[in-house]
Amino acid sequence: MTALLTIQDYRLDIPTFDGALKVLDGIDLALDQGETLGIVGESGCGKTVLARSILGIGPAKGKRVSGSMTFDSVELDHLDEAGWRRIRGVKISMIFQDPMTYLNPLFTIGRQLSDVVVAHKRAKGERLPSRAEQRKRCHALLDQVQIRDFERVVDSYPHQLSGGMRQRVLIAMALAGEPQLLIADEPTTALDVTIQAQILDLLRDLVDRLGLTVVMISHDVGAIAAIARRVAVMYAGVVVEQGMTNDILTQPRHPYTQGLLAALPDIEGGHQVLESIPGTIPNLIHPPSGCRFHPRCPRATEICTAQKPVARNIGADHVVACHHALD
Amino acid sequence: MISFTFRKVAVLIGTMIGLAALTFLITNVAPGDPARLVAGPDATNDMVETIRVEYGLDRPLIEQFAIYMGDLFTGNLGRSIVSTRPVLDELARYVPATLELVLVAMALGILVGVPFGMLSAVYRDRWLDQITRILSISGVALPAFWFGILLQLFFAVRLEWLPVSGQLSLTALAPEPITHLLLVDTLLRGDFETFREALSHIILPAVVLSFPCLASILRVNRAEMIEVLQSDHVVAARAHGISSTRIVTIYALKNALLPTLAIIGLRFGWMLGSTVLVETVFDWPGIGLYAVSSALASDFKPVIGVTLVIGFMFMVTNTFVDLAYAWIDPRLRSAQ
Repeated sequence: MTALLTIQDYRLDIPTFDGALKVLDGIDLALDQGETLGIVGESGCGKTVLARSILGIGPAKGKRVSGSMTFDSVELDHLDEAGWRRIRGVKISMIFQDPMTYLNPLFTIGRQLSDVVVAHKRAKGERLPSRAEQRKRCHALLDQVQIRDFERVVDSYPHQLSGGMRQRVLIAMALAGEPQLLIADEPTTALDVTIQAQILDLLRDLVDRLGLTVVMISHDVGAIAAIARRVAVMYAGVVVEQGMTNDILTQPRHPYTQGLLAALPDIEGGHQVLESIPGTIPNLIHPPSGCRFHPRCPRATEICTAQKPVARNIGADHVVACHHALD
Repeated sequence: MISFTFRKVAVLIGTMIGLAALTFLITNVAPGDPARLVAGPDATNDMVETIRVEYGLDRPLIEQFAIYMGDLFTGNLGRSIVSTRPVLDELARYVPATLELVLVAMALGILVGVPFGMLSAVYRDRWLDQITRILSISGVALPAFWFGILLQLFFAVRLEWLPVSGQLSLTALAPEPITHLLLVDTLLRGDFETFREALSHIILPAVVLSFPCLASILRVNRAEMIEVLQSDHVVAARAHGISSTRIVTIYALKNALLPTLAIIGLRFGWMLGSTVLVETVFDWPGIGLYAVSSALASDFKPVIGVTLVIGFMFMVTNTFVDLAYAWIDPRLRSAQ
């Protein structure tokens, strides 16, 4: 069985006045139908750029240097505007971080949602729905994300809804085209803790019920663990480790993953000093030679400064890019 | 929205009363004795005193103010010393010409400025953008009188496509007034010949008057569009499969229109005040020429009349802008 989404040796540069930012440095990922993949990493590690590149809405000045992205045997890198219209929202869809800024403040929820519905019908070449049909479809979509007071919400503007409600609306929009792949970019980060839990529950429920294939991006390991069966850890534009979420959380092999997990507060650990990874994420215009993590790595040796580690299999579905993974 | 409208109208009325009070204050605080001014340099003291009593200038200030405001409400703006005609009648003759010119110029500014600002943002740094940017910079930089004469020389004298000046040619007959706006009246009366005549006369002055306004609308709209097109909700709309055309012309444009509206309101007032140069160059029988000739003749009442009318139109426009703001942006409506 071929994977639904394949990303191979994907490199992306963003030119700036001081030189090109090497944002993604040879990403390899594959995702099967029905799989749920989490991508974790610090802010600025390239998670969002990667996710948006899948939908062709990456940074405007970004330039693919090498590699490819293939979805359902469609080469995403060669699509034109019309080609994208048959993908966006219909086959691949996305939910976003801050539901306030990702909804247009000047249009009602109903208007924005039904515009999406109409756009999908057009993309699929189907008959355009009447106003009544649009409203019915909106009702069903909002119902799916457990919004019960449809009449109020549909005529509301984004600012009249709570953060949790807005995120539900965005999820409804993302599901409107019945996509095969859902990309969730930090879907809970901008929400209150209690709302986070509700949204995660809703997402998990939808994933199970609709059998969605999901890429979820977050710096919150807990949120990832709640949704994703597999996880990829990113550092400075590189996937440093990937495997089953359980394995990665219990037996991390890459020093960065180990540091990341050690930096999580433990609710049962009592009073303890929280660990942190020394140093900061590197400058991506002049990234460190060899392994991009070596300046911050406790296990770094000479080879790490000279050679970029190749991702290798160290167990059943556990891939690590580190020279000292088994030390 | 209704209570918002009511409040805006209340503010409008209050501001108008304020403006009226201010004009009264200025004429009374300004140095010089108005009675002596009216009487002329050769008048005897007795004559000055007679005039003082006749104009009510001997009464207490507060009483004069009450009379002044009462007159304003009944539309009595006094008489011009030069023509001895009521100021209101003269304004009724000159204001529509200016208003028509300003409205046409404004329409030009919006109809060209908004779409080209939008296109300029979409095709940022491409040739279309470069051309519109050169145009918009020259629009702000070119002095109106020079640009006006240039257009006259080229389009009227050299090419003879358009008339040099005036509102109508001498042979044309203005229709019986309905709205006093020439273009509207000729259309309403079905007099298309005169309509074309009036239209060909208004093109050049309207272009000259609108150019700086058009330029600033274009610049603001371009800058706003560029910003909105990078905003999160545009990214989301693209991700959801909404077409680029729809995103630009509906989703982004509505957001970008808000700051553009503010500029439109400001520029409207600016145009009312700056028509005088254009009216002089094109011999347009408007309020600007009237104001200047009255001021030069120390003819106070018409100057106050013009001030009130321009202030009035400016405030009404800005009230409309405020209402349009609330109409476009639901956050403003519910914040009230």
